[in-house]
Amino acid sequence: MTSATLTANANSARRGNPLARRLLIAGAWLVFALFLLLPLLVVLSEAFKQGVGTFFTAILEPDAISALKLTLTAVAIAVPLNLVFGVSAAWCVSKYEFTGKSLLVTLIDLPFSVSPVIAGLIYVLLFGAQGYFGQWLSDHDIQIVFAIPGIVLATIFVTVPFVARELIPLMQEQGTQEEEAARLLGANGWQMFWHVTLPNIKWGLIYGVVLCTARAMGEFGAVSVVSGHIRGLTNTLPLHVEILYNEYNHVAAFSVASLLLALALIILLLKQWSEARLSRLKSNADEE
Amino acid sequence: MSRRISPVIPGFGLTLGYTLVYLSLLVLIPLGALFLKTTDLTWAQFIQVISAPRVLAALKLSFSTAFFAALINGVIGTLLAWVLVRYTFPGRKIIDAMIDLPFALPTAVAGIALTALYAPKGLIGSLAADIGLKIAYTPLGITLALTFVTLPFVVRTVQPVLADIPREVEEAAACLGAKPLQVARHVLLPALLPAWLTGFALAFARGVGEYGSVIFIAGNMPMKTEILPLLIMVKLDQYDYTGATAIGVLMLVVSFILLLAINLLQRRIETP
Amino acid sequence: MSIEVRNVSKHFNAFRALNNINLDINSGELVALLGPSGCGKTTLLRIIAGLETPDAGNIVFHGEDVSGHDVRDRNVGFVFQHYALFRHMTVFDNVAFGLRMKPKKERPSEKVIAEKVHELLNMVQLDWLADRYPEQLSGGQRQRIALARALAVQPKILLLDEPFGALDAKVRKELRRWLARLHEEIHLTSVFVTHDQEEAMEVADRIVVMNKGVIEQIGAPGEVYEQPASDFVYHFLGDSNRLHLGDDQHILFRPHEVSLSRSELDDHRLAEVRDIRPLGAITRITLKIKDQDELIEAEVVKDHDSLSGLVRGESLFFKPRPSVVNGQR
Repeated sequence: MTSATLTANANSARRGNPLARRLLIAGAWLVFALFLLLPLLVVLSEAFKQGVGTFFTAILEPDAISALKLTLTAVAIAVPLNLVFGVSAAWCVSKYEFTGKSLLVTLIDLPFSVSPVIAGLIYVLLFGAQGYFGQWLSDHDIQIVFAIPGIVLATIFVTVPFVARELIPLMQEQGTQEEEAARLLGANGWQMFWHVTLPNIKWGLIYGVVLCTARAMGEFGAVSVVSGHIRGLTNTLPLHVEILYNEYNHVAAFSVASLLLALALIILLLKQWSEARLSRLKSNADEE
Repeated sequence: MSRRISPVIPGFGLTLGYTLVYLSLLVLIPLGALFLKTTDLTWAQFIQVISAPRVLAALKLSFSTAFFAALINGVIGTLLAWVLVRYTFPGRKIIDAMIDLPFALPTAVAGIALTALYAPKGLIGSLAADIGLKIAYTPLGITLALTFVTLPFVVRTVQPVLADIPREVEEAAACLGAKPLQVARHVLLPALLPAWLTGFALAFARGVGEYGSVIFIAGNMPMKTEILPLLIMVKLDQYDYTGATAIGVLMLVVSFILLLAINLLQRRIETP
Repeated sequence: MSIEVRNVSKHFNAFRALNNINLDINSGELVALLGPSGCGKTTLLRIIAGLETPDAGNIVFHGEDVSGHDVRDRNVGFVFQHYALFRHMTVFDNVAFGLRMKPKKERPSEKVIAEKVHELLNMVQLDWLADRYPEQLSGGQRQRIALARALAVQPKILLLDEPFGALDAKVRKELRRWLARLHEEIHLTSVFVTHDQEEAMEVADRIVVMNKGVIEQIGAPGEVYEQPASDFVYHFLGDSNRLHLGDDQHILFRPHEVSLSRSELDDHRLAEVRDIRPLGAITRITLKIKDQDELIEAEVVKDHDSLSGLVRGESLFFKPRPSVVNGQR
């Protein structure tokens, strides 16, 4: 969908009932203001209630910094892994026909329909003290649950589908002809992927990575189950917000929350930008 | 096994193999552990766990609030999609971009923000309290939080389909003498329904499992405002792993049945 | 370089795309694979290129069996129906791609590559578009760039899949004449796929008519037109009329193979004029014969004697003059 066709559609709709049009637009504005904008403003106003000083104290506190570091660590591990997985899954699903393909696609999407709390629970069942591998792990002095590996695993689980989901339809639409052309012109498999496939899926890939990052950064339920909530050690930023909030330290909670909000807004901008590039790519493909 | 593997596009074995191994190790085997764990319980014990009044109350609460939230989004989301696709007006681009805010915003942040707004002392909560309406710490608050986090689903599934319906189709219907509501009923609705159902199902599934945004606004009173995922957390805190697992399996199975039903409904609509 | 296709068969699940195909293409020849969609012509082309593996049979290039060769080693230039230009590369980079992909020791320097690319772009008369992206080109321009890209690696064989299929009528006519001239110049063994009999007749040295996975006839354009090997070939190569003679006998003849007269003549049949269409140099008359459901179309020069003052509903006398008379047909 390009903005050009959007506008064309929108222009032709101007002939519709003007009263209904105005009411609907006003409704959209109302939903936007009450439902999306207001919560945003509340976070900011609560964060700066006691001035800029308290805000900075809250976000520069050592526990907040270590929570930020842990969140970034989880993102830095989960996102690249799911990126490679997404490309690999999209490649075999979109370039070939084989039995069981639609089942595979369903399985890729599975983490989306599993509650994050269950996502955490399953790793506790596997690697927790009483879990299936619990004894073995404690014999070898390895800790997964209530430690960083568990947080990373839970984060990976909830973000598995993001990149694959963006790439599969895009690569299916692009077909295999450019790859075939590259091979006929003498490219080997790697050259074909690097010079032809990757540039073609670049924007879809970025879009998927942006969505994946947003979720990895903000995941709460799954991480909450496996974290153990040890301040300064196994707390991610969202968990830190919860702890501060439950301690009735609302200003600090909202200060850290506003940090996450800023990251979310950056992600929205990145998303908007990659989406625009992607839709331009698609509309060019449509014209052919 | 039917296969169509091009001799010139390499990597089938490698990518399929990697995909299956990765998916098995991180998703399928761990989920299998959940079902394996339930075998620690006899059938009678399993029934006993999931038929406890507290569990049934949470089950009812989780599924009903998720259903209503998905339904509210079904209406608001469709209207938003319509407005964004069909009209140009000041602020359209910013609204369009901000629709995805609930996906980008960590759910815990959404949770505390909504609580601050709708709590009895909050900006909107105090207004509602004046007319005797309590939002936060009631099922209404939970529905509200779920409506917020699942807002983008219906909009984003309906929007592209709506944009792809050529204006000419409606015009042709109008030329054939259809009134606007008839056009909506006979032309737009059938075209949008499959996408709408997908959006609804996604929102519903997400709503049932949602945790972060709900626990702040819910109040978490057992039997009243305690959702299923929270109950799992409570059981875990009491080291009742089998109890937590039983509830987890119950949640997965009920969600799966409902999603299957929606899927079947969708197929019936698509193939008349 | 000659191409031999030996006993090639190919199935897609239950669908039999090609059934025991044998075909010899001589060095320097320009051959058309002609047939309706689904006849297997594109599959055959892709098997020759190495883009599909046949279930059975061999492909032999100049005496060497290349069936087991990787697509890269076949040295085949291929032009896709929708061109498959690399959309993120400029025209220059598209044409240079094949040269840049060569192994390090064979790869020419960037300077040599640039010269070569400009030479090819000049040949297709599009050097001025070197810095554009495919999306900025017209269909005909993309087509020629795709051809330049395929020729850059100096293939021994050129394969084209519906090369003019996606173009509008006028550009298509220009380009196919241009392709025929280009073939005259470079004399590369070339095979192209088409469903348009006019295109095949105008461009090809020989035509391979295919239907339902088998070859119906191979021959020069005049040969397949004048001496079709089957009813299918006859119908596919041009408009045709069927005149029933009774006893399940009929003859086939083309609209121009007819003698018309206003007055009764020997062996001429009476018919009613249903429609008169002046089409420029010729005029088409639709005739209805008593007791036959199928209408007959006759084409005569526009100043033919029988046409003066002719109106619908009048009677005419006609006699088929088929160039091929073949008992059952």
